[in-house]
Order: sequence, then C-alpha cells, then structure tokens
Amino acid sequence: MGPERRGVQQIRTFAGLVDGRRSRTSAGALLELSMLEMEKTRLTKEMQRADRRCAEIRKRLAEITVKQQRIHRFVEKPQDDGSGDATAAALPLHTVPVGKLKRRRLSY
Amino acid sequence: MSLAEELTVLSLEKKPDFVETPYIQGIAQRALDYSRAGYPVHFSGSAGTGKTALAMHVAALLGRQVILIHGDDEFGSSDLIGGQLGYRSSTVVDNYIHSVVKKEETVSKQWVDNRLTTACKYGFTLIYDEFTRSRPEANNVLLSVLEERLLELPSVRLGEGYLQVHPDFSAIFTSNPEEYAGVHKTQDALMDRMITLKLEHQDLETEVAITQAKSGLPGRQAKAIVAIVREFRTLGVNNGRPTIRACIMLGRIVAMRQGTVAAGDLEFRQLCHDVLNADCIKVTHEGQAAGLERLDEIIAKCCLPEPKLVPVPGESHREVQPASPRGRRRAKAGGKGGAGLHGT
Repeated sequence: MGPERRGVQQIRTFAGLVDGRRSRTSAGALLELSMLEMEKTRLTKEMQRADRRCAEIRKRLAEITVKQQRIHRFVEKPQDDGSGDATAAALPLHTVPVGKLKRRRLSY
Repeated sequence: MSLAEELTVLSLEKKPDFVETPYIQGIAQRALDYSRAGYPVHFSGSAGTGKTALAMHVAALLGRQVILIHGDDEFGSSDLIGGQLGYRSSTVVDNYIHSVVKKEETVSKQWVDNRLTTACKYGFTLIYDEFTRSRPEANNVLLSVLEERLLELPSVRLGEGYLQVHPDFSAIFTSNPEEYAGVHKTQDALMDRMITLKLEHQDLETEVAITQAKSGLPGRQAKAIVAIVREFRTLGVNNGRPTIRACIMLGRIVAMRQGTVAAGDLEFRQLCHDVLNADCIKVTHEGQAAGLERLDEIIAKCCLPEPKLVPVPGESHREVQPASPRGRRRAKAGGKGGAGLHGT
C-alpha cells in the first residue's frame, strides 16, 4: 500500500467527477472547450499578475540594496584589538574630482 | 559627502608688468627650495615689501592650483576646515506591499569642506595672506597639518575623522610684524613649523623697475620718484613708509597727466604732498610740523631743476614749441615770456 495522499489536490468531490463520455458528443465537446478556454484565461491572468509582482519585488530589492549601502555608513566598524597580524590600512589619498571644482585665473 | 566641488581654485599667472630682478629671483628661488623640501614658507615684512606678490609668484612657480585665504579676526576653525553648513533632505517611499505606502522623510545637516580641507585633500598650494589677522585659536588646526601632515576633522563629519594631507600640499604664509592694528600674536608652535623669510624694502634697482613697469614712465622719471620716496623713508619715523606703493601712485598719476617730475613743477610738488602727506605727520622740527618742508627739500634734491628752453640765438622771434602737449598748453598760458617748459 502506497503512502497516504493528503492535501487539496487529492480531495475528490462530486463536482470534480467528469463524465468521460461528454466530449464524445458535440454539446459535451463545446462545454469542454469553454471550460478549457476559461482555465486558460484564468492562468494567463495569474501569470501576468505574477510577472507584475516579480517586477515589484525586483524593484524593491534594488531599493533595499541602495538603502543598505547608505545605512552601512552608520554601523560601527568592528574594533581591531591589535592582537592579530593584520596591518592597519593607511589613510586614503584623495584625487582631484575631474571637472567638478571651479577653476579661475588670477593675475598677480 | 563633502561639497568640495563648490569651492573655487585659482590658477595664477604673471602680469606682463611683473618685475623679476635678481633681488626678486633670489628670494623666490629660496622660498621655492624650502617649499619643495616640504616646509611651509612665511614671508614676513612691513607693508609694501611685496609679501603677497612674492607668495603668489612662488605659488605659481610650484605649478599647483592655489587656494587663497585672507586672515580675519572673525575666522574660526570651521572657516578653515569646514562645517555643517547645509541641509540634505531625503525621502524613502516604501511600497513593499502594493496596497500600503509608507513614506519616510529625513532632513540632516550637511558637512561642507572649506578651503584648508580642500587644499589638504587634493594637494593644492595654500596662500594664507596676513594670517596673523586670524585669532591664534583658529590657526591651531594648522599645527598638525604642517607637522604630522594630518588634518583632524570634527567627529560630526561622516566617515573618518582624519584626513591625510596630500603629499603635494604646500603652504605659504604672509604677515606684517610691524602692523599693530587688527593683528594677533602667533603661537610659537606655529612659527616653529615654518621657515620665515624677513623681507625688507626692495633694492633701488627693483623699486625703479617696478615703478617704471607699473606706471610706464621713462627710466629717469621713475628713478627720480623712487629717489624722493626712498629719501623720505630714511626719516625713519613711520615704520618704513612710504613704500613702493607711493612710488607707483606718483608714477601712474604723472604718466596719466603726462606731467613732469621736476622740482619746479607745482603740480608735481602738490601731487607729492598729497600722496606722502599721511607720512609727514610725524616729522617735526622743534615741536613744529616740518614734514612738507622736508619733503620739498627732498624733491629739490632728487629732481633736476626744471629746465627752461633757451631760445636759439638769432631766432629769438620764432616760438619754441615744447615737446609735450601739457608743456604746450602751459607755454600758451604762460604766454608772453616765450620760454616753454619741458619735463625731465
């Protein structure tokens, strides 16, 4: 005996019973076609909704990354206890920002 | 984030009338050597000795962009290194759940680098003109900049509180030790960190060259003007005044008027009285003000007596035209005497 199947997918109802003979008649086939079309429409809408939600999530993730970088500057850096072999980094040297400083000529 | 990009840096260039005599070249070369060796240079001298011009000249020879600061009693540390001078507003709209909008607005003060910080950060040349006019407390920040090459910034500034001074950074200071109005004493620690070049008044050759270059007068006239001013300066009652500026004033006005530099020229004498009057106040003789009399004596001594045109023998009826338009006008006004005047 196989494992017991549980869950919504496994519930059998009377509404779920399908007469296999119905598609063999014209009316049954039309009914089946309309049901399939409706299911297709429903799934397509759901896929579009999921795409939209994915786009929202991607956008939010990008915002979170930016915010994290900004907030990281407020986080205290771990103290170096000096016991390790790691050497302290030198203070950075700055380079002149190109095209940002105003330059003026002065004759003396 | 600093707003260094809002500051202006200067590129210095010589004017065509900038004079470079051996005297000027010698001082500039010494200062340049000291500066290249990593020491701040301090030009110290009374008014009119060319401190600021020399500082600019040396800065131009160093070949870096220049940041210029003029000392002021109102200065504090923040006027040199910067402060929280602006505001930044940011808004975060949180729409994580599409039906819920969360809005967060933040307004924070903004740190703005000032001139010293910018110069230290990017390795510019700093000219701190008349730095003794700033209070010593304001200049304290320079101590670590000049010795440890480290600029200490307030903790309110975001990021590291220390700024490594750029290796190309150099500083040139000027001050006037004779000045007594609006200046402060300087801490020994600061003076100890810089090489001080004492400047005296320029030599005769330099003063004549400067007067000639700035006014456009002929050499003889420039020399006579400089002689008057130098002679008057030797009276020694007025802290080395009058200075080269008086020479330039006299020279420019004479050139503008197309006048003469002559003892007999009343306009020239009046001009000398006007320009040098302030320096005459302390000249007394037996309790009486004698400045203008002494000045007249000096003018008579230093200028040639005004030459008169001598009529050519045998052509006494022909009118002799003076060389200059002013002389011609004067000859016409003087009229009947027939003897025109011309300048030296």
